[in-house]
Amino acid sequence: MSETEQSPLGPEVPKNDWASESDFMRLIIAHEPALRAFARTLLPHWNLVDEVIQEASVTLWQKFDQLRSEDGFLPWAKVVVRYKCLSVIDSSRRDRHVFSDGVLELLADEAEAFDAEYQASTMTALRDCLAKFSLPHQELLLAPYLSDGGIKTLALQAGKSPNSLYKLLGRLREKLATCVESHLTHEVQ
Amino acid sequence: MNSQQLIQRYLLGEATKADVEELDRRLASDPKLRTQLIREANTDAGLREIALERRSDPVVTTGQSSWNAVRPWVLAAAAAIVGMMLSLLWSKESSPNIVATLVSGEDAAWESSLPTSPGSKLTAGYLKLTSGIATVRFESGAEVLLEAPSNLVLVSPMRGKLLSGAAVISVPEPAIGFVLETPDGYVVDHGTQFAVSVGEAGKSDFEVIEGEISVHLPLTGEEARLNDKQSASIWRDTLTTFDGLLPEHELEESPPVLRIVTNGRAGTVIRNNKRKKRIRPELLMVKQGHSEGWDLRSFFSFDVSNVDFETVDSVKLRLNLVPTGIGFATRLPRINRFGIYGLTNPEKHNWKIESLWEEAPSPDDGELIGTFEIPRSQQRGSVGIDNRKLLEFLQTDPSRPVTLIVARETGQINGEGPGLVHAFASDFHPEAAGPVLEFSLKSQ
Repeated sequence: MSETEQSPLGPEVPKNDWASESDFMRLIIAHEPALRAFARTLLPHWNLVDEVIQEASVTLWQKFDQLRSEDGFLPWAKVVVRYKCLSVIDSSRRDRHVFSDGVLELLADEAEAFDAEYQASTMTALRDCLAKFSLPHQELLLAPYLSDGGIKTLALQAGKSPNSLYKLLGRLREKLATCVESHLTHEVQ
Repeated sequence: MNSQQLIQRYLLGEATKADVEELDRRLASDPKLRTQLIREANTDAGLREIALERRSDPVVTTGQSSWNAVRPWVLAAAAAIVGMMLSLLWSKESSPNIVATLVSGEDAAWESSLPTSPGSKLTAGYLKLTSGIATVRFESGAEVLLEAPSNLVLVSPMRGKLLSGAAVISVPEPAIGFVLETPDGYVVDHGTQFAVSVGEAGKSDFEVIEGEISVHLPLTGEEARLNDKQSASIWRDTLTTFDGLLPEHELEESPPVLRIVTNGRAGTVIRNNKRKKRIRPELLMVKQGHSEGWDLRSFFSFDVSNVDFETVDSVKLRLNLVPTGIGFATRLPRINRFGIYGLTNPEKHNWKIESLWEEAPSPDDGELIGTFEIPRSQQRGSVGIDNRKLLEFLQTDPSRPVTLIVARETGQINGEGPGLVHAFASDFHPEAAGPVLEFSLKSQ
């Protein structure tokens, strides 16, 4: 689609008093990292997170005309995402390693309190911290997200067992977490 | 195993059923551990975002930075809404294959989804050099010295495509057989140094500095072998060879163009009507923000009564983006969308340059003709639209000047501080040209 044509959402968009489809796109883009992190807290795998976010964004779009103000977007979207997460877990509980209902409820309640700003400062801290690692270690830290065979390919190239790389990765992630944590507390002070 | 290790295993998808049950037990009784898990999930989400950012997009696009350069999965969400199949873009990540290395740059400025610092390993993708000189070494050893402005597509270690601009290619022995495509043809290198330039209309010139190349024109199946100091050019369906190097470049013959400017008929309005605080005659400003008082939109008109539309092939509205120094770009979404509207409401036809917000032409007084996008990082350059709708709109009533309205459709993102005000040059701008309609005329 050429960028000179009309928006991809087409002419038949629901319209509320204050918002248009471009507002929706802007809001979903601005808040989508926070929503993704929220879903990640509840779901055991990124594939499920992607599925849930995609489904949720359709629902959000369909009901967008019910939203009263921009400030309400993130809390509202979290409720929708939470609902989608729980229903995905219900339908796949038998073959997935997921938390118990009680813990999921607690986590969802508590994660709802983390705002978009928290995710944004995590991002900043993360970029700073990641830069402190050597390039091969950065590559290893990012490998799990790139493909299913990411770690295995790296192991093959380095002549190591995937298992030993996972152990190293675990340690690197702990180190990274400590760094991010100290950045964030530093920022608050 | 300590709780931190359990969390990492869980997030990496490596936890066993027993691990998850143990973690679940600890989480149930430990609020601090739950907070830690939530934080770790945030970090995990951030790491993934960085991983996807660094992975270059395997889909080669020739457009400017677009959605897929920003966040593929948002595209997917939008695609789901309109039921398109764009989710293919991010469906399965492949492990990145290095195609080339960016060796060095002299004052090089890039627009690219690939990394552009010297030493960067590049995967297949699209590089746009906007200024300076840069050297890209393909993994095969072929070295491309690129001069701005140019567009290079990295296809594989043995293949590249120069869409526009100039380059000198040096091919050492192991890279013999390196192929460089141009818009209408391609060249196979047989061990040499040669120069290529691709003009705006797609004409490409090849000159052998030393060695041997073969130049191919797939459309007709023609090919030519060139040796030292021989040259060739390809344009559309014609391959021409020359002995000796090409003469100094002459300006390419371009199709005839008729340009119409606004002759000062352009204005900006501000929602709170405090014109003195913000409005300057040289800037056509646009903004959409949270504190609505400072919203801005602009409008301008063209007299097209002398245009013979019978001879017009296409038309382009060109606006020149200029910095305003007002507001923070970081308060804007990464991609900002602007709409161009054509005024249709007859009550607004006689607008004044210095108008009140309520009196001036607004998007509600017209129809949307097209949109364009500007990344928040960009504050200079030429933007605009060129579609059929614009041509049709200009023809509706050629006896009267046509008015176009420009408005920013995207607003600000959450945070502190005012958002950037975008501006396009008016005819009074000291450096950049004001709005212009460029009619491409049919060649006789």
